This record gives sequence, structure tokens and C-alpha cells, in this order.
Amino acid sequence: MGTTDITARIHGIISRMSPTGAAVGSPADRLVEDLGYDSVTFLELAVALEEEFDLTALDDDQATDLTTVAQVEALVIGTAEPSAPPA
Amino acid sequence: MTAMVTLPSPRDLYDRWESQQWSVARVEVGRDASRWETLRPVTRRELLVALAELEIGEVCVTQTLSSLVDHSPTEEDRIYLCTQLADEGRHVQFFKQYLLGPVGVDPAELEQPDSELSLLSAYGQIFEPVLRDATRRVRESGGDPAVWHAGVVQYHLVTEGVIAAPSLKRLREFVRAVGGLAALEEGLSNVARDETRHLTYGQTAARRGVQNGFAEVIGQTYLGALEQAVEVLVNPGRKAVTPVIRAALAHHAGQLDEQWSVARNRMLRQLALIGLDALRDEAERAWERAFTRAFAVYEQRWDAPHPVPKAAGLGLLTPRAHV
Repeated sequence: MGTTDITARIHGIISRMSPTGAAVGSPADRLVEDLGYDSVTFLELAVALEEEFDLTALDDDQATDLTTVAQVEALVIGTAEPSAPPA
Repeated sequence: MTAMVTLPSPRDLYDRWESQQWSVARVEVGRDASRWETLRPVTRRELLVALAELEIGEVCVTQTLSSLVDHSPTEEDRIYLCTQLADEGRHVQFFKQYLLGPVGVDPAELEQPDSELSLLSAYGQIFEPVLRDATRRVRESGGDPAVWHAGVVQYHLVTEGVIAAPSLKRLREFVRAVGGLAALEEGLSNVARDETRHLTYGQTAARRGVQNGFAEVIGQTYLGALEQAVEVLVNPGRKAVTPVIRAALAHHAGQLDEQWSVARNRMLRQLALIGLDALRDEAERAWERAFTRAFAVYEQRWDAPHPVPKAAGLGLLTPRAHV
């Protein structure tokens, strides 16, 4: 499966689980400020991503802060980059 | 020596009870039903386990309080404790109606001691036998004052003060964050107000006991109960949600640590309030040992570390509840 397909699935999950029903508009969208995520829905999203993409082990290089859709994409695709500063 | 905070008398607490009445029927639990249908599995499971834990705990305290009522040291204590017995019965009704109504739990799940929900209850598995034993001894001793005070410690200070109150606080915050559960928010708020009276009574009775020559039994009972209280908080028998996404693991572990930190602070504050602050260091050591043991039991049971020590080991969390 290509990166584009994975990205589309990630966007679909994030949009579907957004508490406000907001759809992902761009990778720069922020989970909390733009898509309405809170502590409860963030945990739900994490578990959903783990199940969907079979994430089973902690990666030592994994970012410890997930603020934007782009950071979620990077984490799932396995090319996590250092945390971006808040937009 | 610093002046001790004034605690309300049993009569004061009775008067509060009269002015803080509420009714399960008026909470109208059915209004939360549609929201439960939309909850995602992780949230639904977390809420269900927390509610079942409270229901099982409430049933136990309702069944065991009567020996403390029967052998109350004064008539004022007895009258106050009768109000508490009524409260506990009301709490059982609230949680039962809520679980059977909007949550849709099968009645057999609540009634059978070997049901999945019952087996998931850390309180039911670990501390309920301790409380039943303590209150049975009060009855068998014919109300020996030392045994009665030990019962108050297990019932009010440990069960209600260290275990239930922090769990209730975290559940109320979680319910608010989930949103759309107005009946549950209202009911939990009412239960929390009642519980505040209950544990305040425990502090009042224990302080009086310390002043009247029962400091040794009160202090040793308190310290001796901490290991099991911590085991209930950690609940090694239930596999905890352990996200592999670091940000989620850090967040989830932080929430658990916060709840346990509240429990630790309450545990220490109660000691000071009842006049046993001299036991603070010993209590802190017992608390630390209990966490070490509970985490070891968890890891052995699940062949994986509990999320809190796991997050701490990865540098994602600096625990406050145990150091």
C-alpha cells in the first residue's frame, strides 16, 4: 500500500473520530485547536490508529508530542520527525 | 505544635445530611441512554469498569456498616451513622439503575460474584474481604471500642478516603470530558457530596479515638491497610490500556498518576487531621513499597509493565504518586 493510501486512511480516521465532526483539511491541521480533540478522544484515536495500522511496539525515535495531522502521518508511516512547534 | 483543624461533630454532619437530600428518581438516568449508544469501545469500557467498581463497593459498604451503627460509642454517632446507611443504600440504587438502564448491563452481571464485571472489580477481589472481616470482628467483639475504631479506619478512612474518593474524582472528570452524560454527572455529584460527609465523619471519629487512647490501633490499622489500598488503585488483575503511541501513553499514564497522587495526598492529610502526623514517614514508606509490589504483580500477571512505570521508564512521566 502506498503512502498516499495510508495518508488517506489516516485522514479518514482522524475526521471520523473528531468530536466536532470536522474533516481534515490539510496536514497542518491541529488535533485540538482545529479538529476539537480532547483527552478522551485523543486516547480513542491512538487506540484506533494502533488497531488500524497494527502498531504493536514503541519506536525509540517516535515523537512524544502529537499536535498536528502531519505528525500523526509521520508516526504511522514510520518517519516520525521531531515535534513541530505549535502553530 | 500547630493547631488542629476543627472537624464537624456527628450532629453537625446529621444537620448537613438533612439539608443535602437528593433522590435517584429525580436524576432520571434514562436521559443518558442515547449518548451511551454513541460511545466508542475504549471510553465505554473505561466508564463501565469504573461504574461497576463503584457499584460493587457500595453494595459492600451497605452490607457492612450496620455493625458500626450497632456499636456506636454515643447516640449522636449512631444517629449520624444511620443517615450514612441510608446514603449507601441510595448509592447502590443509583449505580444499579444506571448500569441496568442507559448502560444496558445484564442483571446477572451485577448479581453473580463470578461475573466478568465482578472479577474485574479490584475492590471486590482485594479489599472487600478486609472490610467484611473488620466489621465482623466489631460484631463478634460485642463492640470492643478498639475493634470499633479499627473498623472505622478500614471503612471510612481507607475505603472511602483513600480508595473511593480519588476514584470518584477521576471518574467525574472523565465523565465531564466525555460529555453528554448529564444524568451521570448529576448523580456522581450527589454521591460525592454524600461521600464527603462520610469520610469527614471518619476523621472526626478517628481523631476522637486517638485522643481517647486508641492511637496505637488506629495508626497500625491504617498503615496495615495501605498495601491493599494501593493494590486496589493499581488493580493488577485488570490489563490496563497501554498505548504504543508515546504521546498517548504519556497522557494516559499521567492521568493515572494524577489519581494516585490525589490518593496519596489524602492518605497523608488524613493522618495529620486525626492527630497521627508522626506516622507520616512510615506511611510514605508503606505506600512506596505497596506500589513496587503492585507493579511487580501486574508485570508478572500480564508479562508486560504497567503503563505508569513503562511511561516513567521511557522518560515520558515523572511519577508524583510514588517516588
